[in-house]
Amino acid sequence: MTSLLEVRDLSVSFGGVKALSGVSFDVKAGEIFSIIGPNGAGKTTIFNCLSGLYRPTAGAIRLEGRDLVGLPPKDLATLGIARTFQNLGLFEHLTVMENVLLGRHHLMATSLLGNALRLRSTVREERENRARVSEILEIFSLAREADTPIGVLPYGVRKLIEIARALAMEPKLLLLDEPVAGMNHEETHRISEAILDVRRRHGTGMVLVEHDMRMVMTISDRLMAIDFGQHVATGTPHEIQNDPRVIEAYLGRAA
Amino acid sequence: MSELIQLVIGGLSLGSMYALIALGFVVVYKSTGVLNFAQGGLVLCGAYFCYALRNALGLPFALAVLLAVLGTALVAVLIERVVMRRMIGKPVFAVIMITWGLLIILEQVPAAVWGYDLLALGDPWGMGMAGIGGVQVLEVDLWTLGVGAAVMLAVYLFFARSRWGLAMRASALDQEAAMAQGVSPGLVFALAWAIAGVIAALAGVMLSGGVRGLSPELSLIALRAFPAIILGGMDSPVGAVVGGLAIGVAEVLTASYVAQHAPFLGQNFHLVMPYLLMTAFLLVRPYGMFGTKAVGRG
Repeated sequence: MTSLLEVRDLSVSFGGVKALSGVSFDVKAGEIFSIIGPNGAGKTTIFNCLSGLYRPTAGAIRLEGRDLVGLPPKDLATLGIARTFQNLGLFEHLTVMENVLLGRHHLMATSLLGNALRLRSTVREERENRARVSEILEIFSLAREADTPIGVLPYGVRKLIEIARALAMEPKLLLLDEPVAGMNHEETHRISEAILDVRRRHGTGMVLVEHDMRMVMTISDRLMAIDFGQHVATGTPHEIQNDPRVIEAYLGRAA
Repeated sequence: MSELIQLVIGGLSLGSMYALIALGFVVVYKSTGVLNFAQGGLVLCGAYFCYALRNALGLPFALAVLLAVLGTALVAVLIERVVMRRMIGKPVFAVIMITWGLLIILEQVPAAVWGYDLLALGDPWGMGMAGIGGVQVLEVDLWTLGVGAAVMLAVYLFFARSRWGLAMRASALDQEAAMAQGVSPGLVFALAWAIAGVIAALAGVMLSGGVRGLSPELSLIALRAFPAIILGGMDSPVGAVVGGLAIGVAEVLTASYVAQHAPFLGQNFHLVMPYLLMTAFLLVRPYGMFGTKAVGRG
């Protein structure tokens, strides 16, 4: 099976500090691939490279064989990479509908002039996309909140909305940056279900960074452990949990 | 009573143009964070483009207005691309001085070409009056009100409904998250300036149509959009509209009542009125009627 995402020898330095050195991994279509490691290991750095916020010092990132290094974030979104943010990338003053609708911005084709003149094609496109968003909100049981501004909703619901928006983008690859950070058991369960549901419906490949080990071990197909910006091990949850290098680097040190 | 109605209609007409100019200012401020003092210059630009196309080329008035609007939008986009984009991340004060300098340039060019005389724009309204319910009002005032209302509705629909309007609002709230949705920040910046240019040009044409006439003094009129922004709040489109209408009505009522009841205040006291209101607001409510508290003073 060919890979959806290929990352080869990814290295990032800030000044003299090496944040990542020579990390490689693959994500297959429909696979949930997690990256684990202690704080500062380089997980978010990998994410920021994948979403175009950082430019790697060396290495290659390919989506379906196409080189992504150097492309700005807006182009990556258009090519099919969606992400959620550790601290929520939602727009507080906009409604749930508007937030999720923004995920479809890159799928909408009408011109600026058409938008300004409100041509019939523009209005039809808006209506169709709103209908699609309504369906997605239905899936996430968020239909009743459609016209509520994000600002008044609880944190757990906002996290769910961010995933709904990522799904609305119809991405090939979804990057989830700590989707259950700060959540209780019930909320974590709801998010996990939503993530698995997205994969079931759309076959989206996902890269997950998360500290909640129980959640990671439950939903991941494969994991990669990193430490100090370097690759430690890659394997199934079972293999990783029993890998002495991982236990030493990640689990063992705390004990 | 009919005199009061007459005055209020005149005031709303003038105020709706202040509102448009203020709206252009707010759109640029919200989208790009720039306090654009050159907005009055774009107003002049639109009015003189229209004058030149109508009188030098003899185009029909409606076509001249359309081309003037497009031309002004182009000037605004060029300002953004060539000048303002280099200023991203520079100190706020430096950015303000740049827009101030642009205002001076935009004021001096028409003055150098056409001089300071009052010119007739070549519009179809002239001195025409229209009667509504027994009250006589200037035709140009009714057209101005109509244009003002239509532009406000269009701006509202654009921002509330269209994907580009939504993208601009999102980008103003969180640029990084907006980029992750595929929104291009450069396009948002250019678009904000283009909208400001379109709105400014229409305001310029209406403010120099009919009995009003066109001269470089127009930029002084445009400057009175600033009290409107202070009244409404720097970052509030609704505030721009309400503030603009309030300033317009206050100015026209003052002009009439001072002449009748308090002539000792002088003939041009109404021109001071917007700034008196602005000063009062700066003292008691610096973030305006609808503004966000933190950004009130810019």
